Amino acid sequence: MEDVIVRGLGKSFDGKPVFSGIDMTFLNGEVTAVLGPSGRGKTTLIRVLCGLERQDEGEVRMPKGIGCSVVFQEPRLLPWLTVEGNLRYCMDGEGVGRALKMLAGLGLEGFEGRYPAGLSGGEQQRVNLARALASREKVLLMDEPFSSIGLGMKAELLPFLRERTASEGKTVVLVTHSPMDVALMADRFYLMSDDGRGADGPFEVEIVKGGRRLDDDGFGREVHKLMKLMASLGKGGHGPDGR
Amino acid sequence: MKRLTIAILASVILLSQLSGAAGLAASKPRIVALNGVTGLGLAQLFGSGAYEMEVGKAADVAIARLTTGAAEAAALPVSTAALIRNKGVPVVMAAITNYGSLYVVSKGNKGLYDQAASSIGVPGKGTMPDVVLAMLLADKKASSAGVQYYASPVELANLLAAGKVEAAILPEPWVSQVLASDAALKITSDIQAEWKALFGFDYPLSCVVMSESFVKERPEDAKKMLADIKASVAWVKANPEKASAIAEANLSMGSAATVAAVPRCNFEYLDGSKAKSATAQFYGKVLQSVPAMIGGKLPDEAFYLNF
Amino acid sequence: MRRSTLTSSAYAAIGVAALIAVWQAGSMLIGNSLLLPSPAEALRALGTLVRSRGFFSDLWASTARVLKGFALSYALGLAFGAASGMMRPVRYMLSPLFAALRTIPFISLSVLAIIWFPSGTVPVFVAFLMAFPIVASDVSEGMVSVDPLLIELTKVYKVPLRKAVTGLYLPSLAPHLVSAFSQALGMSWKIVVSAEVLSMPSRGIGGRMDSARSFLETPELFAWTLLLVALGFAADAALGAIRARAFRWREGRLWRM
Repeated sequence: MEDVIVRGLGKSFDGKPVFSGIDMTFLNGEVTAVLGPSGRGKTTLIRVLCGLERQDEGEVRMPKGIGCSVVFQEPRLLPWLTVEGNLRYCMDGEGVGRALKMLAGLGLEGFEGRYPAGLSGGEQQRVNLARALASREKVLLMDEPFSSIGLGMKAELLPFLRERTASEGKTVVLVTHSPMDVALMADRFYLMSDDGRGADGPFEVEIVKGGRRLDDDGFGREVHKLMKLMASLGKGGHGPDGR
Repeated sequence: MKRLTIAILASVILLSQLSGAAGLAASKPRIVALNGVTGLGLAQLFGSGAYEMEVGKAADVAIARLTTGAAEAAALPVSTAALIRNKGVPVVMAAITNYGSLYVVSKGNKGLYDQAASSIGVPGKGTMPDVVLAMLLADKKASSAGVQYYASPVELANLLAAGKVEAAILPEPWVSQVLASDAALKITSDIQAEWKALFGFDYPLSCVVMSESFVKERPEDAKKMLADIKASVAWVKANPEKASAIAEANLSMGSAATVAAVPRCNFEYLDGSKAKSATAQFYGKVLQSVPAMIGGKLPDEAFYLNF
Repeated sequence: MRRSTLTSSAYAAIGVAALIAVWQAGSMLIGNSLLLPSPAEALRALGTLVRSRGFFSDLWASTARVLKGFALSYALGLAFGAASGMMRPVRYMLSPLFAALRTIPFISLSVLAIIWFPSGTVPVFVAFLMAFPIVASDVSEGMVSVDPLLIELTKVYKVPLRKAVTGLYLPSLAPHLVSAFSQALGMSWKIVVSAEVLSMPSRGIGGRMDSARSFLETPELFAWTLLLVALGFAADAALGAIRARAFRWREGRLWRM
């Protein structure tokens, strides 16, 4: 499958640009993160990628006939259906089976009969994850999916996700404001501020690939580097490229 | 000084309101008259200036006034008079003002009992047309399958004229009114004749009742009222045009129709023992067939006023 | 959970008892059963009523009219409301119609209906026209308020229309549908009985109440009123049970399949 490419992408709301001049390449089979402070731009990028919004300028080049599955920022579960009912709503029987297995992998074994109101925020988000992961679509878009998941859980979950998506050869776009997420899961990343300009990158995540453990030396250094990059964005300053 | 004046004024107003409500001496007696023939007999009283007349569309108004003491007398159908007495409203029967004046009007020509079995409009539950028709049917053991109730004589008359109702039993002056509105309508049954044929006497239709307190506390005014009513009934009988003019102004009754109606209204004034015997005979018959319509029993002796 | 249910029933019972006590006191003070009969007199009249000839056929006649009027208003209200909720031009066209129907006074509708329809149809017609705009507006608003986040979810996962209707739209609408149901039913009862008093069909509760009024049978009037109130309570209770079952998911309780 080819890469997913975005060229010169721009979008405005009420005359104000949320981003413009975005050039990004999401390599086939890899996890590419878009790192930046919380804001509208990164979510809008996801929405344009999956077709919920139309861009004002530029183009999105998706491989022919390929669709996206999306992990939304909010769990977006139908409150009147059980966990299993929610899965059935979005998928056919086979998909539901995969999703249930995924749930088990995410630590939610036996939760099929529960209603969303009886789940914590983190649990609901994991159902959201399982649902998206179970989809057969080759492109997976994730919009700040781990905000409601604690650090300890993330440290276990994200490497697991990375392994799963790699084994299925999925192209993953991970939008996040957390350097931790990038360190735990991404292969490369772009830096994107929320001032309507373009993005910096791509940058490689310099960690021993295949092993992202909290107790690795290299891990701590990488996170530190990422945090500094983020901070430079936040002050409204230039990214590392001087742009 | 100002406060004292206001206090005095307020007391005077309050007292006059109270005295008005209690009907103390020197205030005009208040009479409630119903639209239609019951009120028509009292037409002369409207112009006399000696009485405060109120016109009611239905008996409810009169009943309310008599119960709360806001009127001294009311012109009512005979059946209603017994009903309210039996329900505890403190009134007495003072006089009869006219005998029966009910007719069946239709474009067709069915006989009374055929009409009652197929389709006949009655202008309200518990009205004299309702009571009298029910008694005729009950005595003959005839079918009442065609009986259909309407809210008022006005409404029924309109629907009859509009052709939406096949036949209606109506009191005067609505009969004359509706006959005038459509040449194809005619009187198909004379209820008074049917009644007499079946029961052997004439039934009274309208009467005047007075509150017990009025009779007890102002007997002279009560006697004067009776005399005025007697004069009014005679006057209406003798002067249909003048009476109709008053009726048009006060009782919402079309003038031309009323002139034609007067002869058919069977105006006749009775009081004292004559009134008593006429009504008691009627009530006795009611009790035999539709007792609920007068409250289930005969009114007591004290109901009949005899000066 | 259990304890609070008991207490709320206890309070309700106290409230009702207080009401009856006030009623009794009032009737003793006034001392005239033409104006205010005592609770005992009203109950006795109710007993006589239920055993009276034609009671059940009058009850059934009115109930049938209520059901017809209500069913018409609910079915058409659903259809028009759904159309109005889903298509903006339809909503803009229909909303003045709903507003107008909501404001037309009962008496105007009744008087017109009496001219147009036979006496038995009048109550059905009036109930239908008065409940219809309530249902339609409720449903329309419900459709508009379906969670847009969930609508996007449906789009992204390409959920087929039938599944979307049964899985998303109907459950989203359910609270609106239930509320419209109970409002329309309650209204239909009041309207049918009132319209019957005006149009006087040969059988019906309105006709019986009108007779009670004409013959100054105030205890019987109270008896009919008590009966209607009891019917209302029964309907509310039934609806409450349905509502509790249908909206179980709001509690978030553990539910074993």
